[in-house]
This record gives sequence, C-alpha cells and structure tokens, in this order.
Amino acid sequence: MTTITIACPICKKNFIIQGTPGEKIDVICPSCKTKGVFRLPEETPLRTSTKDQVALDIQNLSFTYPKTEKKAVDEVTFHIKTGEIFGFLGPNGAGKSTTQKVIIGLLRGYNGNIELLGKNLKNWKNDLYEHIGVCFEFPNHYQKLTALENLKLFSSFYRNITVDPSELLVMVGLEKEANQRVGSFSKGMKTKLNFVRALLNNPQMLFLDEPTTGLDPVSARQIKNIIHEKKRQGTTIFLTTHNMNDADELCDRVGFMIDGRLALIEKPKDLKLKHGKKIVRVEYINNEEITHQEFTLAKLGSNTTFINLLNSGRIQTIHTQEATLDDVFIKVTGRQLK
Amino acid sequence: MVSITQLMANDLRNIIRDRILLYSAFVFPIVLVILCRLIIPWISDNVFDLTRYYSLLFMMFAIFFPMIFGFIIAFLIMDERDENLLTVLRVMPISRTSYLLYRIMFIMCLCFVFIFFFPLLSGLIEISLIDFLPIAILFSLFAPILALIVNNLASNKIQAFAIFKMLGSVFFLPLFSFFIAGDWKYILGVIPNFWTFNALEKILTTGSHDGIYLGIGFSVHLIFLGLLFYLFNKKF
Repeated sequence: MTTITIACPICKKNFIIQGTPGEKIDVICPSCKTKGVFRLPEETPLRTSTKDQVALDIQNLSFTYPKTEKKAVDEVTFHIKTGEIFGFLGPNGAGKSTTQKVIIGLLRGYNGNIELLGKNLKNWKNDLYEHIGVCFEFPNHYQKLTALENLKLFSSFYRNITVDPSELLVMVGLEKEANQRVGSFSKGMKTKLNFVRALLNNPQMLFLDEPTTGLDPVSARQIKNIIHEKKRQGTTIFLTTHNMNDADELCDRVGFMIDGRLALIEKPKDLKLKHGKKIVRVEYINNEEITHQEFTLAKLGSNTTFINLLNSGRIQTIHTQEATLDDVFIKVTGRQLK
Repeated sequence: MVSITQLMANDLRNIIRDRILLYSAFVFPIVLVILCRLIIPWISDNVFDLTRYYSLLFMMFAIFFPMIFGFIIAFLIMDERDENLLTVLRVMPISRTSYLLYRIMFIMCLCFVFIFFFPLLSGLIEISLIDFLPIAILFSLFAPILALIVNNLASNKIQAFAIFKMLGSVFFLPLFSFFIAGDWKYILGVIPNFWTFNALEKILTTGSHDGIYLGIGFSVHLIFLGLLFYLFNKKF
C-alpha cells in the first residue's frame, strides 16, 4: 500500500490518498468535491509484464524544415521500451532536438510513423500532455512569479490530479526559495525548477533535454537520483544530452545521432566493452617513481609477471581499459561531442 | 478544468509586480481623470474656452485606455515570448489559442471597466451608460488589436516601444476626420478607431446610435483581430 499527498487542481488543497503502486484510482477532493483520476507511481522496477511493452515506436521518421532542402531528421527508426531510459546523444545540429520536437508534437509535417504511449501521434490531441512531461534545455518561467506560483499555475492546466508543487520543490531543495520570485533565481535554481515542472502531472513518459546542464555536482546528483527514482517507478525517459557521463550512468540504451541519422543504438556497457581494449593497466612504484605496465585479460591469472606484481605490494592502481562513451562516439561517428 | 481565477491571479501578479505595467494600468487612468476634471476646466475658465472641443478631447483621452491596456497585453505576451513560455504552453494539456484568447479577453475587460465609466469620471461628455455601452466595447476591442500588431512586428521590447510610439500618432489621426469635409474623411476608415470616434460623435450630436458606423466599427475591429491573431499563431 502506498500513501501519497496530492494537490487538487481546482481548490489547491492537499489531501492524502492510498492505493497499490501503479493503481489508477478515482479521487474526490474532500474540500471542493472535484472528481479526478490519479495513477499511483510504480514501486517496483520494470515488471515482467511490461518488460516488452513499447512506450515509443518510431519508424522511418524524416523531417525537413520549411525552405531548406537538407533533411534535419533522416529515416530514423528506433523504439523505447516502457520503463526504459533512452539516451539520445549527438553534437549540436545533429537533429536530436528536432526529433524530440517532432515526437512531442511541436513540429508537424513529418514523414514516417510515430506510436507514442500506444497511440499514433497524429491521433493524440492536447490530452497527450496529461501523460508526458517535457523539460526543455533552457529554463522557461514567469520571472515575476515565485517558484511556487509558477508550479501552481502550470499545475492548474492539468485535468488529472497533480503532484503537490511544494513536494516537488522539496525534491530539488528549493523549499526555502518557494516564495521567492524566479527572476532572482540563479541559473541552476531555474534549471531545477524547470525539471520539476515536468513532473507535475506524474507523467508516464518524460522528455528531458540536458537536465543537468549548468548545475553544480550536488544539484546534478539530486536530479540524477530523481531520474533513477522515476525509472524505478516505471516512468519511461527520453534523455537528450551531450553529457556522456550522465548518459553512461543513467541510460539503459543510447542512440548516437549524427547528421540527422541514427548511427547506432546499444547499451552503454556493451559499447564500452566492444570498443575497449581487453587489457588491464597496472600502475606501481618502481625505484621511487610511478610507472605502469599493461597485461592482456586473457589468461591473466596465469601471467607470472602480473601475479608477482600483485604480490609485490607496490601497486597504486589497477584499471581495465574499456572505452568511454566519448571514445566510442568519436570512433563511430568520427566527430567529437562539442 | 483550467481555473480562470488562477490565470487571472497570475496576470494580475505579473502586472502589479512590474512597475511600468502597474503605473500604466492603475496610475495613468487617475492622471487622465484629474486632467479632465481639473486641468481642462481650469484652462477653459481661465485661458481658452475649450468647451466646444470637449467631445474631441474626450475621444483623444479615451483612446489612451485601449492603448495602455494594449501595451499591457503586448508586454505580457512579449515576456512569454522572451522566456519561451509560448513553447511551454504548447506542451500543456490546454489549447494555447484558448489561453491567449483568455488573456486578451481578461485585459479587454479590465480596459472596458475603465473606459465604461470614463464619461462619468471625466465629465467631458454627457451620455447615458446604456448608450455608451457599444462604444465602450469598441474602444476595448482596440486594445488587443494594438497588442497583436506590436507582437507581430516587434522582435524585442525596444522595438515594441518604438512601434507603440509610432502607432500612438497613427491612432490619433481619425480625430482629424471631423475637420475634413465630404467623403474624403473615409480614407481614415482603415484605422479601426475612426469608426469608434464617429459612432460616438453621432450619438453625442443626434442622440441616437448610427447602426452603420457601429456595424462597420465592429466588423473592422473583428476582421483586424482575426487576421492579426492568425498571423501571430502562425509566427509563434
């Protein structure tokens, strides 16, 4: 049984509801008697039954901006499973943002087929936005309103019951600044507020564009923990980023986009292993200087030089030499992520 | 359902927390009333008799109201443009068009409240509130027209200020229609408030409404509004 505090979108009064994780329950506000439906967050990781469900399925997506000839998105095909974090990586101008804008309905006139949350994108109307949350790269807020007023305003746009804005502010450590005007916020604070606004409707699918850009390490960690938590609750996440460390840490699979095309899609771990060297690098002290030696992983246990070094007590570090996502990207696309 | 009171509270906060918008909405109308009640009569009594021009002066001051509230709508929308909030509104489960229409209607209503009582407050003309009602609506309809012209033409607030200044002079031009003999005055009919001024003049001089002036006035305003709104939605 899960207990959660929610805010009524009409009278804004908070009240508590209970139910099993993932359950959709009919709710009546005790104050103003407004009726609504609320989906309680999943508690367990991706369940077997939803493992193979597809949240987003894109077939041969192409998009060309008006008055241009070059395709910004060129025959892109991929899918994202329910509850998966999918990283969309690529340099500026690769077509990442355009792809995201098409998927969330900001750009029309595309070719190909998009199935989003079990329905063709063309058949979704405004109610799509009851089910998805979008966090744009650059923070967008009413500068003269406070953080809480901003969240309350946006939560009033939803028909379904929303998460209590104060709870969201606590999640990103902005509770003390709740009644401060956003105009006086630092860039990092605005970014955090931008991020939690996308969570207001407890969305089934989240679209995040560079959610940690401009954040200090502590704040970035906060955001990444929330993303992990959302995944644990069963939310599907589409993450567009330049940050390879974030992608490596967060994503189940990543897609490399270059010149409007998807160069590859794979699990970060598999990519790093596939493109890395199968060696171990040992740093050790020799004649009061740090030196290093590399050993192949094959038959490492019977390598006497390695064993002797292990027993010598002079070792400082030992590292396998799998590739970083950055290395893989450069190798695959011939470009650097700048 | 979207709470209209929440939206209104948001817009009022945005106006009250911006010094320029606050003064425009609430201080400038008071200044205008003081001007009409104290300074104009003093000039008439002591310097130059203006009483025969009172209806013209009324029109000149009254057009300030839609200009002020047009300025407010324009700057609220420009704020939303600058902050990319118009894009955020497109990923909310509401119709952005309805949201912008609400915004226009709300500020128009605020404008209407001021303009509707302006004959009483200014004391420059004598007209019953019932008779003044359609004229007040016409004046109020002018506010969103101005806001949308500015938003369609200006790409930033500095440009918006410049366009306002320029348009301010254009919208006083219909006052000259009362000094132009014959049908030549209708050249000024492309400016929407020409019809508002003439409809008001008609009722002040004849005591009854002129259906043609009012009909054309409403049509011109609504055509301008529809066209400008279409262009705005296409652009943003």
